[in-house]
Amino acid sequence: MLQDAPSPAETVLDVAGLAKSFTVARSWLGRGRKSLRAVDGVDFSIRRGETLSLVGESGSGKSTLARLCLKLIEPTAGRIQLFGRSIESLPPRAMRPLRRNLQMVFQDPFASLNPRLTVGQILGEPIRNFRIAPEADIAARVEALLARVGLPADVVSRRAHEFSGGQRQRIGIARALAPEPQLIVLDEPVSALDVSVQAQVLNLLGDLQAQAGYAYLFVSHDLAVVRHISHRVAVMYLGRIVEIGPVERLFSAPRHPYTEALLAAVPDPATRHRAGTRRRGTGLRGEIPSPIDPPSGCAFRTRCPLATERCARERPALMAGKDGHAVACHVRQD
Amino acid sequence: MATASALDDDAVTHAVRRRPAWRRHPTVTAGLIILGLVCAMAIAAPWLASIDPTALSTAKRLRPPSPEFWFGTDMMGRDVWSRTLYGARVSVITGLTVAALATGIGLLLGLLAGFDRTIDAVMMRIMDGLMAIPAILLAIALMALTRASLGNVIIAIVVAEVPRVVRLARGIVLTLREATFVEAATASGTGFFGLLFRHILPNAVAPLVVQSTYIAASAMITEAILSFIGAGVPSSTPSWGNMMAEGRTVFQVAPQLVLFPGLCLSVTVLAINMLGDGLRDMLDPRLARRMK
Repeated sequence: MLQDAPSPAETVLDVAGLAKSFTVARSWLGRGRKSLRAVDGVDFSIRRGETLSLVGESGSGKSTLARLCLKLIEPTAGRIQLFGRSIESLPPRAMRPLRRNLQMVFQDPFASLNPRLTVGQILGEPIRNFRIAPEADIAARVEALLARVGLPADVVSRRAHEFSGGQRQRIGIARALAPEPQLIVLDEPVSALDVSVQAQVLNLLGDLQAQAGYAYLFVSHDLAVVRHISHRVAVMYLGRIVEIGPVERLFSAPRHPYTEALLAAVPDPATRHRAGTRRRGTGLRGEIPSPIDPPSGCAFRTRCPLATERCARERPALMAGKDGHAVACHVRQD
Repeated sequence: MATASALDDDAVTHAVRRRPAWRRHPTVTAGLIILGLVCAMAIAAPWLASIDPTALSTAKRLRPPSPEFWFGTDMMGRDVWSRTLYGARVSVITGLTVAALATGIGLLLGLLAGFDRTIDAVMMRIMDGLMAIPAILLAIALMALTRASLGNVIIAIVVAEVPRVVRLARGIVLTLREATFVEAATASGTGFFGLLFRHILPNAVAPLVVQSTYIAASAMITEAILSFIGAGVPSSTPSWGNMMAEGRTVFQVAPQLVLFPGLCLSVTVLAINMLGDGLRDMLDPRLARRMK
């Protein structure tokens, strides 16, 4: 493991070498397939009660990685361990009971709730599927879930379109809580919400974690939110983790030039001042390269101010430093 | 706060709901009333028509509308009112049966195509081929192979209409399979059949019901065209299409022979289309909310 090896009992999810390619184009007669490497060899683990954030630009593979962890899409390669048990090659039927431990809150609360079902039916579905409660107790369970996310009990008979974005996201969170999971993957859970509602939902997530000790895998591109909510942060670039470490260390002393550039782009007075004085010229230029035809060696070298000839030849490995702070960079490695 | 805005939503929703459904969707109401009348005409034809629609009377040819013959008589002295009523039977049966069969078969084939890539590739090429032939030509060709009967007319029109339903159903299934709420249901431990019957089919029904109304309208017109050109129901059975075909030659002296069945066909098709448009607005909860 890259971090100071957590004891196996504490580790909820552990992934190693996880990769996912999509076939994007097949030339005429099916020769010369092109594949898009959305996630390209990722290792990390999440402990009980911990929030690990995944940050990166659009197209860096964050959402794909989040869905891989839940096996909502099948990985191309690599290992996924849930409480030490490998789940990467389990068929859907065998996976189903284990899904109880892994839940997800989706980015778009307008798309994640079936418009034909009532709130009661939506929340009753996981309770029934995982046999959390006998049929007679389901209504009481649903009410308790609504109370936990701050919604009145009388919403059970309403359908999703009758709610605002923030209320829908609360319903989505209640659905994820229903089977009492160990890990909740939060895929940009507040990015579709108004700023005033974002804070409410983030506070709710924080309270729930404090009460029940859920582990969160928090996918986001909002660094201010990430700094507020995370214990550890992993920075992704073109399907790979380029830097991972405790939140304060990563924000105060970033080591990968990409992390520096991301932090410099945050419109926060303190950060910008630092960027202006110490890291002038590290602002990102250009676009993220295509994952269909990624650069050789280090994926970031095409936009990196520090790139050397070695960066084009060798792909840098994620090397653990002190205090669980790891970086994948030839120049910045000790 | 969340609770406060929930109460606001509540007030709005209830204010709108207080209006009865038939007033909120006037096109659906009007369409249903007209269709109800047409169906009543078709069912009650034996009682409403005092004269046998096939009884010939050479002495009373081409009479104008009168108290005895409300819609006049045709060139063989048959009562046009009775024939129009019985003609409604053919149109109603054709419309309903074709809509039900084409939608049912189309949905089944569309589901198969939406869930299996190999079936999809083969089936969609066949459907493309069928769609390349104009529906009316396909129906004429099929009728040319068989004996003229209402059953064969229905089969011919169903074959011509099914490809469009398959396309629609397949598209809907492919979209819904990737929908976030289906992904969410998978994460909630729902299996394949749960996803199919609880999440995919209920959301596919609304657009298919709307489509089926247009199929019913188009089937009635196709039946009339087939009967008009003599490739439809046998001329011994009165239908709006063959009535118009027979009346065509004497249109200048007895326009009522074409006018009444033509008017009935137009009004019926218009009513079905109004029903379809209204249902489309009514069955989409998101759209319905925006329209209020």
